[in-house]
Amino acid sequence: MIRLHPFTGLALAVAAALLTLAADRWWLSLAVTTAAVGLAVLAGTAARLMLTAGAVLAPLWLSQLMVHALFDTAGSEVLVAGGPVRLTLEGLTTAGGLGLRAAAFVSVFLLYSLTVDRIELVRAIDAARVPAQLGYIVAATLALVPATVNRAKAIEQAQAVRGAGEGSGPAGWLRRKRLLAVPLVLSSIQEATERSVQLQLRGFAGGPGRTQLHPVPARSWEKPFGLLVLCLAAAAAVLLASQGGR
Amino acid sequence: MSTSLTLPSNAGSTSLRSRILPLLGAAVIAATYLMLVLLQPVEAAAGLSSWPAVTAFAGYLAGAILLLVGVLPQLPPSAVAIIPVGLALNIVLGQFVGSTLVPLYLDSIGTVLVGLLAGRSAGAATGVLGSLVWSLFNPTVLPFAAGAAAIGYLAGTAGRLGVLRRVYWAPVAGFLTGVVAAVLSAPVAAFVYGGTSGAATGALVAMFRAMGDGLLASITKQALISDPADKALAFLVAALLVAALPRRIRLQFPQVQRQASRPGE
Repeated sequence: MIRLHPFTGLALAVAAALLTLAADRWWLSLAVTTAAVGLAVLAGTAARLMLTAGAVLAPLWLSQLMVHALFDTAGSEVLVAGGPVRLTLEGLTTAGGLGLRAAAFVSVFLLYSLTVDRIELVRAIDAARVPAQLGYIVAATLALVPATVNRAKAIEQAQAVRGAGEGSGPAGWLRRKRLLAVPLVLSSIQEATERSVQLQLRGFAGGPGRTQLHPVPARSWEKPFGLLVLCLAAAAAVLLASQGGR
Repeated sequence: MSTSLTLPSNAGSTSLRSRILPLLGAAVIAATYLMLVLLQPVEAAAGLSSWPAVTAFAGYLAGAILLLVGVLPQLPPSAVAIIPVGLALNIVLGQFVGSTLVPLYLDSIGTVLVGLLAGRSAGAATGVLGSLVWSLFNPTVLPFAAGAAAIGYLAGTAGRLGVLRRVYWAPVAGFLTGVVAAVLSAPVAAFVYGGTSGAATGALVAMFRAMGDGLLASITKQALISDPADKALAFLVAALLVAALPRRIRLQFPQVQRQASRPGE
């Protein structure tokens, strides 16, 4: 697969999401979702994409089904009725359309997230004309999330070894969470304050004269192409949205 | 005093851009909300029209990014260093509760913590950045950036008003913040997704719909039930965690320093 600059991939993902949102046609949403899954297969991340998308979309789809279809009072073609439940064809169509639109939105961004080189993304942000703090915060967060998860596991194990946090029911659960959260937050903040001294010692955020030893490579056409894609998507979104999109 | 130990102080040199962009961002968010509420789309039998979805997505996101670009350069290193901790806590705690059967989110404890410790600008920046970075793991949170910024900003305001000195006020401040967050976020849930991100919150919306309410009204009512309780809990937990910090660490943060220097501390 062709390796794009992180910002070119981001421009494509934003454009696809915006167009799907504005057009609001089930066949376009389905096509975008299928294309995202197809590209994920080529990139070897299809299983992760579908698992993550499933975890994100399942509660949303359930919610859309309940909100639009299960208790629909407006639709005329009733499929199932009993008590407060009134499942209509119109409600199912609306829930299905919204569900597909959400699936397209989630799958394009997840495809980008799973295929982008996160270190390259941080370096690209650092090299762009944005505040230096942004690059640092994104890099630090991406490193801290797995570190925080691991630290939480280590704290849980340590508390279990010393026999703390035993007990069943909501009180026991609450006690276990307190014994996890307090040391987790305290140690994370202590580390952050130590890091802030290091940042101050190095004159962070210094000024605009930062350079990189190895800048993220970008082909000459990528920047104008990315800008063109975004402008066209914005224009198409305005046009489609002003026409009603349906 | 300089925020850098090696470079001269740049106090007083806040650029015009840093003053204007946050105001512009807030104005774009407010205009988007007003447009969505005043020109509320009529639901057809076949569903919703698409312009509110595009307006909510693009308007809120653009406003939040303008806010972020204006605020970030003003932040001292102590605030910059703590923001990733807040974001990591949001993600770790939010992923846990997000899809359970509890109609709460608990995905803003980190944002509130940063707001209380490092102030309004850092809180707002944490809210926006939280949505941007978390969207790498869960893209559905991306359009909620403006609501998250408001939570961080209001947490900073609560810290400035002395919530850390009187922890019992934290749930009250959280409750009021939850009302603002609910009102701001409801159009995104209604028009971008046509529902909520959890099964329990979806059931509440369905109940209001079955009682005859429109989509935006139902989601706003659900949010007004879930968000104030959620934020009251988040503010209380964050304030208790700050209270549990050693004084030596707390005093590293400008907002806490200001509070400590007030008479009566």
